[in-house]
Amino acid sequence: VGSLLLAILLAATPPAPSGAELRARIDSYLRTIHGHIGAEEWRRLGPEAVPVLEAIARSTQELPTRRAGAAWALVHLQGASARPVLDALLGDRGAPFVVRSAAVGGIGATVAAADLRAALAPALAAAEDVRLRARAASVLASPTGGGCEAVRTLVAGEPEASRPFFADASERCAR
Amino acid sequence: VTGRRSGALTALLLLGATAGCGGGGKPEDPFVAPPAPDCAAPPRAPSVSVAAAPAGPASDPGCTPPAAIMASALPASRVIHLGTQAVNASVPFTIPAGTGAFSIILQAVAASAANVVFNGSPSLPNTPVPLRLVAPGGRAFFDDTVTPFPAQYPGAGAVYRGGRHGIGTFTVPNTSSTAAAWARGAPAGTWGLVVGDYASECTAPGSPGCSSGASTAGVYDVTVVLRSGPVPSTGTIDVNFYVVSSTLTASAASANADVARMLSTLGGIYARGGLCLGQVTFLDVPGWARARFAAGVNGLPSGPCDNLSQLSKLSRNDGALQVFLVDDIVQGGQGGGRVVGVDGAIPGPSGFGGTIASGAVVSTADLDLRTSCGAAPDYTGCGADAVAAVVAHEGGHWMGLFHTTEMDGVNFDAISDTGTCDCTRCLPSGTGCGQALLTADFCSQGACAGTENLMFWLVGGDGLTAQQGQVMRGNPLVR
Repeated sequence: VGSLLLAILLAATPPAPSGAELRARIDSYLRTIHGHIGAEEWRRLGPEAVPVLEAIARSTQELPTRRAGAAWALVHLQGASARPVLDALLGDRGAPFVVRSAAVGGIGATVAAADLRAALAPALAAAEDVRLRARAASVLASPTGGGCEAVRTLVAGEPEASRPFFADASERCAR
Repeated sequence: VTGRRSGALTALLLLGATAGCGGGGKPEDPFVAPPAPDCAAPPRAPSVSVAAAPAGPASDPGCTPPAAIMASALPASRVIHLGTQAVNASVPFTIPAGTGAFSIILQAVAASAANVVFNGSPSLPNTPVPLRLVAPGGRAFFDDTVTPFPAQYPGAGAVYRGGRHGIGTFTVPNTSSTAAAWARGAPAGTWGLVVGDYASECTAPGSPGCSSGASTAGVYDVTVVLRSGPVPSTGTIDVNFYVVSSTLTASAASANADVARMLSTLGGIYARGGLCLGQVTFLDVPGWARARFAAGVNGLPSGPCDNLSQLSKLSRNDGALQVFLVDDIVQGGQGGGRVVGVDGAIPGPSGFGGTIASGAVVSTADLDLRTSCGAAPDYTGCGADAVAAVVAHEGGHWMGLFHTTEMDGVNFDAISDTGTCDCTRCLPSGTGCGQALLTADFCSQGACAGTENLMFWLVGGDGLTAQQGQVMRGNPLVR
């Protein structure tokens, strides 16, 4: 019965694309406007998608939202193994905000709560962009982030003019 | 997929259900595209200005639903205010001769259920609906409990998907069959509207039943706005751009080269639909709003106090298309998923600024990428063009256009001259509906089409068909 079920399952799952077909599929997924490409769709592309997505995520010639989408897709495909790429994107001070923000979200999705504050340290200390600090604070404040104490400390240390940027994180911690 | 289906179930299908693949054919095109207007020459050339004052209150007003009822900013001669009506109330109104199109706007006065859970469904926002609409002479024009869904097209007289928490907009004509029938105007005389909402549909005969939310306590403010005269062959639309950014102000945007290219590309796209940009106004938002949304607008709708709703409430109450330009749009709190554009409702409540559905939100994260900004638009290599395409797409939704094909390949618009990419015939053999998304590679071969269209579910196309232009120009915002 188990073999039969496995056979049915395999028959129901299209084979992973490769080559030009794979690139076309990735290109489409990164061109969604407001549709949500789910984790399962990314995973169906298989491991061959990883180097393609990594190249897009790192490319300064690509639209920043495509780079951000590629970084998030790597999280779906690789889980914690995507961490080196995410760390590199987060640490790239010349990268667009949306790319670094995607890296922050990806790190939040792949790092255990106990290690999250340290993993997000480059964002939390990003003096050049209050948006990145605020985004990292929101990730820390999420239910799985477990970092509301750190968020309160961070916000308390912000200049008065910057505190409104942390409204989302503060509201999450107040719930 | 056949049989009775409520509007709420329609919304359920749009949430991602993929069972069944009932794609239908489309009737012949009864329209001829008018020549594209020359939008660069006076008097049709756009005029760009910067508002003197920021939009919205100087301090954060917080959120206490229900939202304030807004009166229409359109000329009084085009507005029929039908007052406060309870669900199941039957409300007559008169459509004058020569009316090309009209919208019904329902705004919640008294909250009943916040959410509705139809049996076996996820929770849905309790959305007002035009439960039934009867044309002069007593002919049934629309019934939200039986209206054919686009997958069962042809034959739909109208499609309603225009609601959010506590506000709904129903603009007709929005299908080929009705647009053709109304070529010389909507039937004049006394129409009848029965007001409803999802909560009341839970209690209707034939309803699938609801595990929570059933109620007939909803009360709505009802207004009809008219598009006077037949739908013109060319039209003009004003646009308000609200600059919600930590790197750009309204003044800077009005002088920014990338923004200028974005406007030029947007104008070129809309000209294909017979539309020219008119007054383009850049507005700042107050500092509290800029700071609050700087790190990313949460694009997931969750109720009248969500980010989209609160941004939309900042919009001016005028006759412009309301577009919020933001630094980033994230999906949810923690994750790294994001989108590049989202609408408050489809269609938008034209002529009603300041409601929770009065804005389209577009990410400007790509604006300054100039890998390939040549003479022709490049929607993947030129950031300004990419942003323009998204603004045009969201504006298309606002003016009543749906996706030509949804990502599941099951649901389509109700426009007969747009390409279709049906999962039953466009996926490779061995791949069933629901097993793959209808991506551009599947939809650009053989009889599978639509990727070239502005309203395909992926960015990249910039085409508008004659009938899409007709629907857009029929919107009350178009002058």
